[in-house]
Amino acid sequence: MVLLLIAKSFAFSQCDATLVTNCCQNINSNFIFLLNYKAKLGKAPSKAEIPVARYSVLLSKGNTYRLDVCSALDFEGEAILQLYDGTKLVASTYQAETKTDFKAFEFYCSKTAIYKIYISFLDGRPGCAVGILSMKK
Amino acid sequence: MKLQPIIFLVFFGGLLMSCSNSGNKNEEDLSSVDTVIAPESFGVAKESMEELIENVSSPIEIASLLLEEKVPFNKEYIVSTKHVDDLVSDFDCAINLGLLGTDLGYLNLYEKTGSVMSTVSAINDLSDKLKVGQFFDFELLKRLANNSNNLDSLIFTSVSSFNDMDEYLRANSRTNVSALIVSGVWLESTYLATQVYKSKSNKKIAERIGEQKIILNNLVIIIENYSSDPRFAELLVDLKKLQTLYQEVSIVNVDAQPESKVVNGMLVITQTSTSTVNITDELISKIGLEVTALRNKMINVKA
Repeated sequence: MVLLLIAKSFAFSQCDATLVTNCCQNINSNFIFLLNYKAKLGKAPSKAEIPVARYSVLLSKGNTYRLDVCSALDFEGEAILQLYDGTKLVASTYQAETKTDFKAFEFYCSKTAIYKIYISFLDGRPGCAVGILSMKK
Repeated sequence: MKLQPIIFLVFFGGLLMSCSNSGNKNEEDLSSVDTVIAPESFGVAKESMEELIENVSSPIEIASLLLEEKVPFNKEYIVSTKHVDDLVSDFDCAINLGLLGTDLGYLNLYEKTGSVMSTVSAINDLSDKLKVGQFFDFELLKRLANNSNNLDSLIFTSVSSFNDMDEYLRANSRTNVSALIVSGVWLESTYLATQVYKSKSNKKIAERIGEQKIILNNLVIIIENYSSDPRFAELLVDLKKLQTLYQEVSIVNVDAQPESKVVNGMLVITQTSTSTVNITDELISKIGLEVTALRNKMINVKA
């Protein structure tokens, strides 16, 4: 039930600018909004070729960041947001082993570097989503 | 696949519980014809350029650090807006838009909303000159700035406006303008940090100044890409002077496995890698002088 409620707050009907506005509502008052990342991807041609929207961002040590991802309800795809340090996966909103979809994570950064943010959709379904980067005050 | 280009982290401060609409002035203006011709670029693919610009970010983090370190607000650090009327070229308007964007963030973060209006007004003028004024709702920003309870909305609206503008610029082959705006953003935030350091030595601020090496190296590549334009070429020379100074900064990274746990339903990742920045006071002083000179050059433009 709790998971259902969480999932609902991260899913919005429209694949447009309101998705950013609505997704920001998940950020609590301890965080400052920094960036948003939009992703609209088609159906994967195969499981080995799942489309990914890629971005990069400089994160600074000593800061705690929060990354949220929200999917538009008018698409079937459920978004997954992943954070990479180089080629190394640091964090993911979706834990494949347990099939848990957190929709967000907090990241305490201890190394200033350029990180990669990947947004894709579970099982390569077509989808529309927005990722929100915020920073703890 | 890069679907949405960067967003500037120009404006800092405050919470974002309520994300209000950015309220674009006029949706129809989105189709206005560009008049800015991008100079010939050298070889860096559009996608790579966008990625480089994405990395030129985070002035908010410097301002946030200043606040965290209890550095008092100093209005002497921000750019006077008196010169804005004299700016004519897209080059000058874009750089100054970046400078003022950082200042607006600095003002917002320190909740100096009463002093924000002249900066907002100057940003409005510059964005009009650059034909991206449709992304700044001056009246909305004015209303938000006049009510201290609207700080969250003011910041969100400001950030969204810059994000939308940047997305538009890059979608309309005006990445060169984006490049100049982020250069201005970076220049002003580095100026802020070095000015503060002059009056208050602080290890965290020193490290943050040193970390600008990462962004500067990207900026040099970005600006070099447009150096067929004499103004870009001139800026490149100045940035390379700074880059030479920054060669003395060393950043040592030690990688380790992150730790993860779930706290009240939230996945929390704690990184255990480290980075150490080695920079001397003398070098910070030299960087500060060079940054100040470049900033003054960008402000004191003869029309």
